[in-house]
Amino acid sequence: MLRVHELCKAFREGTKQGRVHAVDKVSFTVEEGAFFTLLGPSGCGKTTTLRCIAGLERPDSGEILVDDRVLFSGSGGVFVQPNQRNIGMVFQSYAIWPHMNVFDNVAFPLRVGGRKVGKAEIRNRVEQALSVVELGHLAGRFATKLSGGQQQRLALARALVIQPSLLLLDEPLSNLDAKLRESLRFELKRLQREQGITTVYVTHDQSEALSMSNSIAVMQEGTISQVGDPFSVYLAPENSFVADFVGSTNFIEGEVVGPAGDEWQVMTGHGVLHVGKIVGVDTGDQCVVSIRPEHIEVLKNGARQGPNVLTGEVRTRLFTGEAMDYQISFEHGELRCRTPAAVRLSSGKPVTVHLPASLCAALRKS
Amino acid sequence: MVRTEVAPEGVVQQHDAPGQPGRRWGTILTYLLGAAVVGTLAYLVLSPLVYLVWRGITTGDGLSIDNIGNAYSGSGTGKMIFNSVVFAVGSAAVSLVTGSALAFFCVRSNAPLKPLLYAASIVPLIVPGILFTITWVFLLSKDVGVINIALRSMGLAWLQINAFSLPGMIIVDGLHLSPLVFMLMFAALRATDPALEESALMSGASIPQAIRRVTAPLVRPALLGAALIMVVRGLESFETPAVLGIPAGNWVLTSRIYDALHSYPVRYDQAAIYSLTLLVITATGLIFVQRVNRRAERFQTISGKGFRPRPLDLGAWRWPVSIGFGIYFFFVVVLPLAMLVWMSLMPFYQTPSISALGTVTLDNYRRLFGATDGVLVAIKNSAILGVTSATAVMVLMSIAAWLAIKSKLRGRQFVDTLAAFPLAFPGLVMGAALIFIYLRSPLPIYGTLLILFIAYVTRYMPYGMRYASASLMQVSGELEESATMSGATWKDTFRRIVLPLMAPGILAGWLYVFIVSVRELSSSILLYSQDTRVLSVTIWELWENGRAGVLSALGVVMVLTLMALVGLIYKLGGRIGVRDY
Repeated sequence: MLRVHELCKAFREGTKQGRVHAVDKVSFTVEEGAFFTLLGPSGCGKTTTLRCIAGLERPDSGEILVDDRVLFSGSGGVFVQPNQRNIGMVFQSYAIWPHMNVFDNVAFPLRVGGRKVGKAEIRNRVEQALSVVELGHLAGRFATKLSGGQQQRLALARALVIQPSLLLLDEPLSNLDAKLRESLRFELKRLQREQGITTVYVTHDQSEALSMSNSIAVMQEGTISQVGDPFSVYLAPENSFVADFVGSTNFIEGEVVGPAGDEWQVMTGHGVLHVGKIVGVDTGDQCVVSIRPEHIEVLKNGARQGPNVLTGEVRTRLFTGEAMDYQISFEHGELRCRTPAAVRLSSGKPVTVHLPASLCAALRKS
Repeated sequence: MVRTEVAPEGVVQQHDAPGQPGRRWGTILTYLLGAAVVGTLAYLVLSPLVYLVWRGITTGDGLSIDNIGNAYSGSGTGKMIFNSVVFAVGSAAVSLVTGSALAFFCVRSNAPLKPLLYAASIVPLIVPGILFTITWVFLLSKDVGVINIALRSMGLAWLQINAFSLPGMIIVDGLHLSPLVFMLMFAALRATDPALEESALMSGASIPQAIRRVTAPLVRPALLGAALIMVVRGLESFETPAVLGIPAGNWVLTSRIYDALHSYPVRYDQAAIYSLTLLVITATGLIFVQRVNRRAERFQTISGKGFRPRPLDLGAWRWPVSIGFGIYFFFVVVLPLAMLVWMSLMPFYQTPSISALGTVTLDNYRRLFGATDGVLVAIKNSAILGVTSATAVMVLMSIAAWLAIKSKLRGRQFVDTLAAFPLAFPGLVMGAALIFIYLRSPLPIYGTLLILFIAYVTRYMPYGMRYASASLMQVSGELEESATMSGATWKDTFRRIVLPLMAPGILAGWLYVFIVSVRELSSSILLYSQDTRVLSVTIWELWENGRAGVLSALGVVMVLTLMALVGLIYKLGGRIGVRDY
């Protein structure tokens, strides 16, 4: 289990005066055996947070605990050196040592520091770690002769061989091509579950985060915007940043009019829209209504009237294989809408769409 | 913006938290080391400069600019300046035209025989300039030059060039320098994304148009940089003006400096002024080169993705271009080396012919090991100097590179500038400056090997720095960090990760400095004494005494040894390149 409490880390910026808060009072808890993801755009502080946990950066304040062992405490003056932390880490570049072969790369952690492991046991543990990542047959090969995916698995074996209490992964899939990346997602998830190891994963790729995590923290400018399981982060974003960064969404600007039964009414350029919920705003506040493209319903014959039904014109359509993406223009702005591939609308034709109120949310502008 | 990508902290800082005694000692040690290295660098680089300026602007009566007037009022000064300029610009032109044309066809065409050019670019690194020039005396001298004889026999007498003339000097020096242009332009052309040219073709341009309007402007900064470097090299060049220029009275700045210090009465003031002139020109030139290079970075099209240069199909021109490659290879590599071997086997000089084959003998090689010519002493001196200066340069520069790249000391950029400065020092100028310092210095090192050692170490620091920092860059922060995360202590990380990764680069740098030290002539010629002759000086003296046979035998042995060492460098260089992700 990992607990991070009010972690702060600032850097001196060369070009600017003063310090920049890369990580600003970040707190979260990762349950034993969970897969936790720090998700955010580059520069949001996710890598700095990870490096603070690893001990490669020294935080300014806050606390870091792994299994109730204090690794860092700003107030208590505790800073455990990174080589004493027993944390496994996979770097973005994999950091495979080019002057060693596969076996020696994995054996290195067992041969250095305070761990005094016998030759036979080193062999056993390295072979086991290699077989877990299915590299057993390549033990004698030089590390630089491996493919990208193999290097990634080698880095993982090296991190796992010390039986760490925590595994840190710093964008381990970002250097691979798209196809390999997808297949390695399953692989990584399977390994993590089989080993039952508590994992912190850093990525800027929202689909990686959604598909692999038990829990996701979306970060923005050094703070956590929202923490939750993949479903709640995707389906119930708490602000417009999360809605926009995780998946794609439509934003319609407006002002909250007030409650209407179970729903709320928002005045927008398209008229009054009904939304299922409001987050962080109240009557009279400026807000954005968020609705995901795949939640917009295309009405066949345009017969229906009622709230949240809009009529516009198909501007562009894109066939993406598994779906159709439409850009639909209305009197006041455009919406993106995604339908199953079978629904074919022609460009320039009028179209009527329905925005289901339960899937619309009025969010604070951020 | 919030920054997440921070430069990896120095290992020392990572491991010792503030408040622990280790950290304080680490910091103090870093500062002491930094101060020692910067102090040594500053002394080596700045003392020659200061003494040279001081010597130039003072006479017995105090500060004065009389020296300048005296140095430039003598007869023949105008001619000397004119010669210097014509020689430098001319040899730069020869090397630029041949070198860049070959580089272009080598990178961007499908002509066969390309491998010859790689050999042609390496061999001149090996053959000392003095040997190269001397072999060309036997190829191009007016009456006995092999090429001239051949031309006369073919009725092409009007094509003859006399080596002992300004055009002869220009051609010999230009050919010696052209492999350098080849390497510079080869790199520049390789770094140009062929897609830029292809998009010009797709826009409707013809191939010549695409080359003229896209390729040429893209490599122009590199070409300009190479041109400046070559002019500077031409001005610094000593071997060619000394061997080919002095006998015919074609004086240039470098040969004048040599003459001022080597003929009676010794004219120190004149040497100082000429040295300063040369130094100002070379330093200005190199500052311009740096400017041009910085501008070139704007054009840098190197992306993360690798690309292959797309070869142009030369069609019917494939073979003519290849024959050009062959001719170049023949003149730069085969002919000089063959001449050297031929002369080393002759008891006295004869024009190569079948009948002369009967007199082939190994006497010259036997004489090498006799005591009379002092060859053995020279070999010993060169070996001592090569080993010690290469070791000193690499140790000093490894620390300097570490300070400049990985430490967080303030003013660490200054280390880089200091270490690069000797590039502006022509060898003769360095030699002259060291004479001024140590002739009067209470340190009794004038006329010892130590003064040569100081000259070599100072001059070759920039190269050592290049090797050391390149190999230090090999060790990216994450490689060290992942060792730390594996539980390794600072010592483990240094011994098992940093050291093994740096070693090949440091060793290659060591060999490079060793080789250039053994070849060095232009500083040594001013600093040697009776007991401290080195190999290049011995060759020079053998030449002056007309002992071409022994000289050639020594040359052959030297070239073969150096070739073996260069082979070793390339092998190690390959090892450095193991990390390609």
